[in-house]
Amino acid sequence: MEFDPNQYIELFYQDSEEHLEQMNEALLALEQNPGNSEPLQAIFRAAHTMKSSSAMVGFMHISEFTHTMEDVLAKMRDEKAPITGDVITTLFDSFDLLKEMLSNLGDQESEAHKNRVKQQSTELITRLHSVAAIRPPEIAETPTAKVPRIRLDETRRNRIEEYRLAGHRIYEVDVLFEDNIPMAATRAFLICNNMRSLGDILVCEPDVEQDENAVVEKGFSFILATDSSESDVRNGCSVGQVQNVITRDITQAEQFEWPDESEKKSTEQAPESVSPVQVKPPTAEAEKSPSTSFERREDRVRTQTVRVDIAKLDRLLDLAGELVINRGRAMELGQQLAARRGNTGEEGFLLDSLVQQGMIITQLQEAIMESRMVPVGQVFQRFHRVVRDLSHGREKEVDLVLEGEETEIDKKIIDVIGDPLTHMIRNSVDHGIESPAERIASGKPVQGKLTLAASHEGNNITITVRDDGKGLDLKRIKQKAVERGLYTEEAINQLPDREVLQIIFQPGFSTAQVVSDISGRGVGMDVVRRTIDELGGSIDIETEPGKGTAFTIRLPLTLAIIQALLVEAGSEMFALPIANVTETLRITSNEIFTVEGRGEVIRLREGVVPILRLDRVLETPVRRETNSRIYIAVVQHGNQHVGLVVDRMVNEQEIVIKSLGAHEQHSGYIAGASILGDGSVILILDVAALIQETLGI
Amino acid sequence: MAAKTVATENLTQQYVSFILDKEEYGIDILKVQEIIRFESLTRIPKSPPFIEGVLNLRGKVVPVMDLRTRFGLPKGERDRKTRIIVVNVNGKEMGLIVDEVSEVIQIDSDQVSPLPPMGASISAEYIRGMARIEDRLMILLDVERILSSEELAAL
Repeated sequence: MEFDPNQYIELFYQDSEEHLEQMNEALLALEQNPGNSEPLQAIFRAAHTMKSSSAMVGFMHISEFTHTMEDVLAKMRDEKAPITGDVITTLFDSFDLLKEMLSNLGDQESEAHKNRVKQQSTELITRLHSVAAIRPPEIAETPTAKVPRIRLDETRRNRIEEYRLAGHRIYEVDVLFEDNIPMAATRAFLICNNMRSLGDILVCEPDVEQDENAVVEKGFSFILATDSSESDVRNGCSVGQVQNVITRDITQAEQFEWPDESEKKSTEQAPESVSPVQVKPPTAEAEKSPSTSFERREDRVRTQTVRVDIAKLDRLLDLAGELVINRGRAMELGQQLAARRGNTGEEGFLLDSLVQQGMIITQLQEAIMESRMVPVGQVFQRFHRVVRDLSHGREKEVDLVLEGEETEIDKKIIDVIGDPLTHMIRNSVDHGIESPAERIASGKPVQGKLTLAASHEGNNITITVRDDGKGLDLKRIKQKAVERGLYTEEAINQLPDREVLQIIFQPGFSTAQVVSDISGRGVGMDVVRRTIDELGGSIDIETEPGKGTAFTIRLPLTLAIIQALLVEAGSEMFALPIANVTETLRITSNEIFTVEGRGEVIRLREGVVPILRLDRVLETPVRRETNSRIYIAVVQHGNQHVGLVVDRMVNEQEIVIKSLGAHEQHSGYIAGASILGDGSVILILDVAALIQETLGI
Repeated sequence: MAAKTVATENLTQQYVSFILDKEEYGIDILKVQEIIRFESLTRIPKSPPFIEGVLNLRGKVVPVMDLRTRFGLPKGERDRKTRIIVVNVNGKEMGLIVDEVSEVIQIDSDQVSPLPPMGASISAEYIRGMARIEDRLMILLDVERILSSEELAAL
């Protein structure tokens, strides 16, 4: 079968996104603590993997660029080059360019743009080389340092302990190859194969068994649990061009204290026997050499997960929803049967088994919902960078605090929530948090604090963006709203404060004094609101002058099942998402007023709410005569309310949202469909579209 | 010459035949997913008139088209014989309401001729050809065309 790169491109995109994410996190960690070599290695790993994968799918420019990054990082790592601000900036710029390269792959790029990226890439390659050229003179590699010793983390140590307690012998083996031998990785793999016939390889570094791209240059090390003798092990390692094999029997080693924990003990720790070729015990320097001792913990975790197309999970959830609906129907029939024929005989057993089945279905549905859940931290992490860039650009000092990153939410929601959150965070840094001078003047710490917190609240998830800035200026919002012609002077003075705050979500509203390149263009908060509405969520603002502002977003845990109010209009049944229904009313026909040119309205407390007769707008074939009693469901979208006139309120229940079938596009006022317990199809009304119709927007 | 004859001779296709306003029609059996009895549908407000509504097909919501209305034929009665033919074209399912389904029939390509001018009461746009079967004529429909018209795209 021929190799078709297209099959792998989707996978490449997904992988690259992950690698970029890791690179980003590592960069930020590096900036926080330049002395730590772990982040540098993480960046190296990400660049290394992207180099190979992009070459595989034919994106040679990405491969070339990541190759340079990899080279430079390897050099810095090996030469212990100091991580200066310059290095970090260059790496950040490289990261940005890489991101741009990736995001533009799908598009039909213009020639000019291609050239620009190419030029930037050349420039950065030069810069990367030049920052790497800074090398401290005092570092000289110890020539004996050839093979790194194995680092042991908790998991590995426990694993070794298990084998030791089971009575196996444990050997640590270092294999040194002759210089510049071809196919070192293959030889290493061969040795591992031989070893597996003797026992179990517990740790292998670099991991030639799991990672075919593992960098094996000078040699590799592994820890073997076996019942064979030491000489068998040594024989197994004798493949061609092996310079030296060092085996250490570590079965008796009391505690696995290894060089990275306590460097001094290393040499005396275990009896050593060295092959006659060369006697060269590893020195302390050797163990410190970071050249190939990559921490591969993440890779291990990843092998326990499976990538699944979200469409498949959608289908599973859909089917589970179907079962839930059917469960209700089956239970009902079972109970009827038992009531009629008594529940002593088979009917009783049937009913029992139906109850059992019902519980299993509930668990099944929950399990499937859970499988779609991902920690919200995935999105949160990226804001470190956003805040870093923003605060640098605005000369503000901002500390981003993340809370509840482990809170889980439906994948679909995660995918769309990133952009609105970015906007809100930008808004808080731009408009909320004051400049250092202002903060000092008002007696606050120089560094502003921005908190991004997530938590569960019943069937909802709450995400809060809170700053300790100057708070929203109500007077200024009112003034601006009048200036922009959104409200008249009298109208705005009658609005309660809560509603004044909501004005900032209206299209075309912005209170920024200075228009910055990022926020303050008057688009954004309205888009934030719309996105959240579309997800069936809500957003609230709390603000205190001088103390700060908190935006609280409430979102449903999942999008597939909603709570709905079923109503009847013109003898047809429709579903209204409960999230959109603010209240239901029963009025009489003389409480409806007609406003010239604006249609019918009702009074609701202080205000006036326009109404829409559902049977008319949906053109139902049957219309009920308007009688004295009228039912109204008040629905809300954004801060607009409309009363929907219905014939009857049926009930409230959970429904599974389904698309309208073959032709995905929504039809008129219909947002989707669902199937009720009796098998009939019910349509879900698109409240936003109905409100637009009523208000003539 | 001989080779050409062989190539055309073997083109036998199976069709599902059905009745619509007393005329016989056929659609390619490979496009037919299943045939079900007519059941009451849920109307979709503001949809084109030939979309009768949606039905629940084992948990999937499938739109249903009244073929008579689609072809501008007079409205028919719904009775015991009324069927919904569920077709599947490129993964999209659609139900077609017909007066009755008669049989599955094999038609050789040499039985099929292009549509004679004024040969049928429905628009030539949806017709693949006419088939002669002994003494009767069957109109072979182009399901893709019926499903892919502009009105449907707007649905």
